[in-house]
Amino acid sequence: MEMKYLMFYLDRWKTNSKKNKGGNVVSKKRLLSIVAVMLAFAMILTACSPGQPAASDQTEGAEQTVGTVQDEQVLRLSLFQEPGTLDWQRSDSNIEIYILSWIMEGLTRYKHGEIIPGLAEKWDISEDGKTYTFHLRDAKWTDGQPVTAEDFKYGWLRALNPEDPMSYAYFLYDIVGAKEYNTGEGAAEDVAIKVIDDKTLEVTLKNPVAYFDYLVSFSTYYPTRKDIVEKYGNKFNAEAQNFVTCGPFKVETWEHEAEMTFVKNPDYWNASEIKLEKIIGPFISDNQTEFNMYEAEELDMTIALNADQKAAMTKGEVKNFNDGSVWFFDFNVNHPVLKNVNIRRALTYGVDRESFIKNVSKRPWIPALSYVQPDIIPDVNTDKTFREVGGDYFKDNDVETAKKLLEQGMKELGLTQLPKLKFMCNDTAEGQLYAQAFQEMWKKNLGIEVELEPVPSAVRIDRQQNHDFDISYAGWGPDYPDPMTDLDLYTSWSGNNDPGYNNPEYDDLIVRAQNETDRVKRFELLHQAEAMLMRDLPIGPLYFRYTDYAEREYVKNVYRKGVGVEIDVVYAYIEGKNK
Amino acid sequence: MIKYIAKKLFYAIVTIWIVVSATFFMMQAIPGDPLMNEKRVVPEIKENLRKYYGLDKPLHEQYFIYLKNLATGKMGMSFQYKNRTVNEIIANGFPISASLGMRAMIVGIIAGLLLGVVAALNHNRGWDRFSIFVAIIGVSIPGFVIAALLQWVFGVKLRWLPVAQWKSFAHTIMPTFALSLGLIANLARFMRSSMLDVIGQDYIKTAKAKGLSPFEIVWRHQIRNAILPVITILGPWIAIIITGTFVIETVFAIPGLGKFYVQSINMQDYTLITGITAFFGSILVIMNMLVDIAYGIIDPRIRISKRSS
Repeated sequence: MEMKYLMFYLDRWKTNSKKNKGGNVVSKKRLLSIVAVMLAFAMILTACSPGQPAASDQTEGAEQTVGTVQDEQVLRLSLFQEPGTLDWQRSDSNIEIYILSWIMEGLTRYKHGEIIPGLAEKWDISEDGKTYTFHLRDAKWTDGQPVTAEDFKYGWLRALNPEDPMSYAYFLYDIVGAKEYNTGEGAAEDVAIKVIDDKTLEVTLKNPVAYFDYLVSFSTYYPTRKDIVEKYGNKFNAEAQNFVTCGPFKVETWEHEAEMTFVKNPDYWNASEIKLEKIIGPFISDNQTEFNMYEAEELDMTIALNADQKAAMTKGEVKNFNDGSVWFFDFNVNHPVLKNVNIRRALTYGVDRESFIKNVSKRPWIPALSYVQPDIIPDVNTDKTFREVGGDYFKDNDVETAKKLLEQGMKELGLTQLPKLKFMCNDTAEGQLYAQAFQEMWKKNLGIEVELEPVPSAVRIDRQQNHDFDISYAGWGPDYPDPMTDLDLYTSWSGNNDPGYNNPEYDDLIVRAQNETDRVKRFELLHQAEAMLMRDLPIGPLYFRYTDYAEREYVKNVYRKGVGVEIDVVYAYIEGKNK
Repeated sequence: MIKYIAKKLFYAIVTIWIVVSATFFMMQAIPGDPLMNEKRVVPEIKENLRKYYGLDKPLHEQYFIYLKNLATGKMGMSFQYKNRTVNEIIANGFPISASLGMRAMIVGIIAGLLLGVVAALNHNRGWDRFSIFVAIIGVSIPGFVIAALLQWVFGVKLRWLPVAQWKSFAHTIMPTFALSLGLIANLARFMRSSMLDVIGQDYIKTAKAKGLSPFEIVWRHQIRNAILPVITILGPWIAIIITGTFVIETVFAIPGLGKFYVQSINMQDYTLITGITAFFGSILVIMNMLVDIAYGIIDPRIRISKRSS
């Protein structure tokens, strides 16, 4: 889910930042003097041009605290770009999902890496882990109506309606009858969502889904008012005045393509915990513009920060967060050479990630010597992450071993020389730069010649899907904070299994984990699955990506994480701004 | 004249039809489709989505539906903005792009022509050099460099103007200048050479001999004659500038149309691509037509030759 947007926007951001970086570097010194003359001239001219402002001025509000020491609880941050839709069942991109989490709430809430009760006060899980009974608290929609179990049922069935398809409908496929209804093989009545009474909702799952309490915090699972959907139709949640919500904040204004503002919802059941009074979110898609606005004190934080900006920054502090993505080589396991596991191992072990990050990408990433992301995915005892328990599976830049494995692999294949392999990558400047770095390492460390195939990302995705490649540069981001989000990718039936890995033993481990109700055993199985994947290496892990961003010191408690809600400002507050 | 306009109008419609048809078929040739996602949509859901958007129909059928809708002015729902029609997107963005464009036009035309005239009248002297200098800068430095520089100097360092967004008059100053610079440069260059051409003509000597004041010579004889070729280049310029520019609008976070020219293709938003192309194509064709007509009005020679032919 997040992947497309995450990658798309980070890639765009990079392209943009490249462009601007180029601009600044070339021009700053040389052109400054010239431009100064020009500007004097222009100021006079533009001052003469007639016309009215296009919109009333309202940004400066945050700056003016009249004579009080109290900090005004206003947070200003870029929302990157106009959301595609804020119809929560229809939403399928990162930015939409985090905006929605500010104005809505599910049965649970994913607060700073932890599941807490949301609109459900408590819930019971049956012995077999398949039936969930949610007990709703007294909560109100912004128009004063109570939130009922019926609203949830309506929203969930709406997500599954095959007549009005939603791309994230599969998030509900764990519910009995859901997939059948969504694919036209079953009826809405047979989906196991039962309204016991106004305040009680019962759901039956196909398998004991260990992370179901997370899933119900997600936007696809938000309650939805039938009367509101019917009233607005296609304009449901399309304009500021159409929203009827029940979360911590309310949409105040939405100027399309320009800006959204949000104010605290005084009727939110947990309003006493919410400190921010207002969020101002202009859509600033150019990363350098965003940085300039931050430096000019027009924003309190940035979405991201590149290395040059980091060096030029004069305000606040640099922070970073795991953006959730893991990057790797996709090896086509049906390729006559790459079908050999030792060749794949050689290619994976024989590159120097440390040096790549330090000298090529120059970003705060960490080498991936395993598959499941660090930080964001907890293990069975939530005080440790899955990564901490699993540890690393191989060494970085292990050229010695790689050479031996290569030799062994070639012997097994009966080859004296490797045929030239093709390495598919994105045709962006950055995509090619990164791929070249690895191409160079393979040549230097192992003597393997690889030919680059730079293609537009749409072509890359298309060809990956059709297994039409030798090696491809790929990435993945999690849907939910459980290792299953990564590991079920390489089951033989998965639509995202680009390498074409097909191992019945692996499939079996995943199925067993999916049906296991004992948490300890389940995690054992998942660790075994990861170990098997790292033994067979249909993918060669490279790095876990982190993103730098800037934040003013007076901004408190903004939480960023690459799974679920990427920017969580719900519990944020401003302190010490007017010192 | 009416026959002339009717003929032009007919050609304009044919041109627009060719443009939208070519766009329609070319965009289908781009790998992938609007529903493509790095994380694959479940095949069954994708099938439903294709049906929902009518992408499951044969291409020629889709084309005729599209043409029919276009003829009635309906450009369909955007794929990327799931609650907005392409008409709404254009209606939202165009006034802003047009407002910015008009400001830039006014600044650009006044400054550009003035610079050109002053340069020609001071041929090979200081003002001339200055104007050539401005023209070279304006033509050779890309808009985003100027934009980024302005932002950095006046927004971040001096804090005289807001860095970006489109709200008050102060917000419009930098984008207006950044956008008009290219026009200033082009017009100044064009006007200068056109003026120099006119200055050497015999009728200027006659005017001088008649004893007309220097102002009248410049105003009634030189500028009036020199401005004709300049009007020719204004048509396409106006079309481009008022329909929004990707770079300036992106850098200054202006909610105009400009970004859609690039973004719609990146996102393979079929309806938005075709809608934007049809819209831009129409504006361009209309502007060129207006220029043709204006030319006929301003230049008596053209009027006469039309009449006699």
